[in-house]
Amino acid sequence: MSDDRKDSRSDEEIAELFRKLPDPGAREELAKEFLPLAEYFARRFSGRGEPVDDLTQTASLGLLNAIDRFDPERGVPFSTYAAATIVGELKRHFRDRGWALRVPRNVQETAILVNRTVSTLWQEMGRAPTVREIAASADIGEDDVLEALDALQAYTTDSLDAPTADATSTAAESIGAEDRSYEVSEEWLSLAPALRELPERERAILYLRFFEGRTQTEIADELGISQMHVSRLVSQSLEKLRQRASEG
Amino acid sequence: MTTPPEVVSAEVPATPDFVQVLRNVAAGVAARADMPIDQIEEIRLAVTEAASLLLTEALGTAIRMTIRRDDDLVDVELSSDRTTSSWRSDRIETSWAWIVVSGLTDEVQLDREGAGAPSIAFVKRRDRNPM
Repeated sequence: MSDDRKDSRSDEEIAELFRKLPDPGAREELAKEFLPLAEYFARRFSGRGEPVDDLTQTASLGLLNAIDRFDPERGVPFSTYAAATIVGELKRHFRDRGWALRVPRNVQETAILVNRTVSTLWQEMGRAPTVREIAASADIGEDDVLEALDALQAYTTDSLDAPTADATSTAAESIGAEDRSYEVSEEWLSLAPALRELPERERAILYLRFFEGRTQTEIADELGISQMHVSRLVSQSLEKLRQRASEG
Repeated sequence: MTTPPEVVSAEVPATPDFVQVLRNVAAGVAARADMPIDQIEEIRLAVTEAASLLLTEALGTAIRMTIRRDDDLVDVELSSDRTTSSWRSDRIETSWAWIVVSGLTDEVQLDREGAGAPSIAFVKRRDRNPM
């Protein structure tokens, strides 16, 4: 344990507190003193699908057990003993949930990881990565990547698109301000009347993709948004059209 | 490098709920073909649109999907189990869904086998997009 913290107690004071046990006040003082150790291990075990708060609670329980069971006569520093007890408690916590310690991340966390990996690879390679490339880079299974990509498509675009610096509009929204108007022929609109009801940006993207035959990457470049965003908007607007069509 | 073609097929009830299954199967095969993810997504969308055409126009009880994965392409065929139907090619080929499938894929064909069952087949070639 770090003895260099300004407000931490000396070894002698700690030993004195242990001698006072099972006095509840002394126990509480010790728990407060070593709480940073519990928090440290809780953080070490985070990112495996369990909320940090739960882990902190579990680690704190491990700390209390350590305080109650510690035998100063053994000559082992309390911090060493407590660390082992806390880690044991955290491992049991995961085991009780039927999880191996190296649990796969949950879908949402994987989706965030995959989203980040895709952006990085895309920039590095100048093209869309393959599932295999993403899996290798993120060190997860190819099936997990596929599942995450599917989940990413389902997200609302707002949740994933970072606002621009002024935080009032995203780069995607600002395309409406551009002068180029996507003149859409009556003939084209008649193919799917619901097209008229789409937001202009989505209509523009569908027009470029299906009328002008542009690729998603070209559209992304033209509109200054990510290809992932174009892809999501295409999926989203096709879904809207399909729902509208099925409504009659 | 060439790999032998692989064929995967799936048959699902002709209801909207099962289109997701077809999408996922197609995406899995495309991933195995080392397609970039933007193309995988377009395959998902094409399957969705083709399946929705079969659901609304062919009116069968099942949809069968057969995907042939070759070295640098996937060839997807969706067909209905209904042999006689109200399937009308003129209506299909002017539909929005058809335009979407055509736009997303490299080749598209209506009733390829001519076997009597309404079908939509498309080919998506892997785009290496070298920079």
